[in-house]
Amino acid sequence: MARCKLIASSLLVLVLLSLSAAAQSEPISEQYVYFGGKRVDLAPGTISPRLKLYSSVDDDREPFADPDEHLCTYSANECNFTAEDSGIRAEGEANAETTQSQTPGTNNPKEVELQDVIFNETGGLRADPKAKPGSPGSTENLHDARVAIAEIAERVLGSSHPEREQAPHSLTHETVRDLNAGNKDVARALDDSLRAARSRSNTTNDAMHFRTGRHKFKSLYGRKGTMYFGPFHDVTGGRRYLTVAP
Amino acid sequence: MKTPIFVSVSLVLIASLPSSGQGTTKIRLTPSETKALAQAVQDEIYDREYQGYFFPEGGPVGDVISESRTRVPLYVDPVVEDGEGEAIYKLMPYGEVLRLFHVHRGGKIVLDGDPELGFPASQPNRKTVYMEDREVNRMKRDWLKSSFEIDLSPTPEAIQDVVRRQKQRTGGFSAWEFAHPKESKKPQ
Repeated sequence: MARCKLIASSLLVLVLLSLSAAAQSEPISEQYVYFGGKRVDLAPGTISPRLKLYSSVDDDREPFADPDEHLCTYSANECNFTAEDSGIRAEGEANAETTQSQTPGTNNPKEVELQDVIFNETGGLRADPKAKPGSPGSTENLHDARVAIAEIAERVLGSSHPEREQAPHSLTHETVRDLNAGNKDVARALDDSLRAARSRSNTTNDAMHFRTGRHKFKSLYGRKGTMYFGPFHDVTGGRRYLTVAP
Repeated sequence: MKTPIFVSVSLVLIASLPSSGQGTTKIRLTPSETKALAQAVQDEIYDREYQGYFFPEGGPVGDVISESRTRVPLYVDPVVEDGEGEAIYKLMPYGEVLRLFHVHRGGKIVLDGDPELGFPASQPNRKTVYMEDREVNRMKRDWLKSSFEIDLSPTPEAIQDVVRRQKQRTGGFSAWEFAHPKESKKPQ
């Protein structure tokens, strides 16, 4: 009898362990994506081929056309996305609702630049799915971090020393590849960067410095840190914090 | 009856510990992992076609081996924290950089960050010129000293090997392949 109980207990442990392992390894189910700040539902398997609006290009960086003949250029932002383009259906609305008004236009290069700086600074960061909404490391916290970077980066770009170094204001080849491959995390991060670029807020109280790191920094360039965000996950591993200082 | 329950609960608790992410694990980098890091650094340079930048007018970067080959020092923090380590080396055309890397199961090393971002001061992967000199000096003094070699003209076969390894590290991305889409589609 005792042996039976021991075997039963062992089986229970194995089941619990396998459930625990599955919970850790199972990819997060993606049923929607944010485009132009709007949540849109995904039909399974449709986004990948339809997001191929970007193309690898040679050094001449010539514009190219996507399969649906929507002209895009090397700068990945110079495409007019529509819900129809993405093979996705806007939540509760008709097909083909345009999100063009939410995408950075070619007539607003500064917005495109700012979006790319924000993305390049934060594109590798992911919110902690276990974080409570609004708490450090959450999706909202990551958006707030992007807003903070947007504010500072815009000040730098608009300052008398725009050459002050921060991440570049164009997307990298790897990002273009990821978008080509329909990487929803990257598309979502890019979209959130655009929303941050448009925030036009001053949550950082005119701060001029930020830094991403493995830990929080007490000060940046001798100035005491005033805002902290994270910890966020880095796509290649590790934890990242964002520190803001005047 | 109590013993199996206690064992079960203990095992479940132990199994859930790594997923909590709260603890910090520190391990020492093994010689094979250090070698794999040097390989990853070298591969990235060839994959990005940076090798020419190591041979500027006036003489190559690093210790000259021959007219077309140089050995570049690589300083590595011997302690890996939560699977993440740090290294300092000259990565042309950017200059000397502090670079994070990740040690994966099986000893695979993945370099953190994208060189195209230029290693700005705002990023964890940054040029050492943005760090305090005494801190950089301390790191170089206390860390493991390794090296990697750069050839000005690697063979096409070597490049193909680099591309293959890079794609394994990065989840399928090779900068060389991206820049040479036609060549990479040619039958091998």
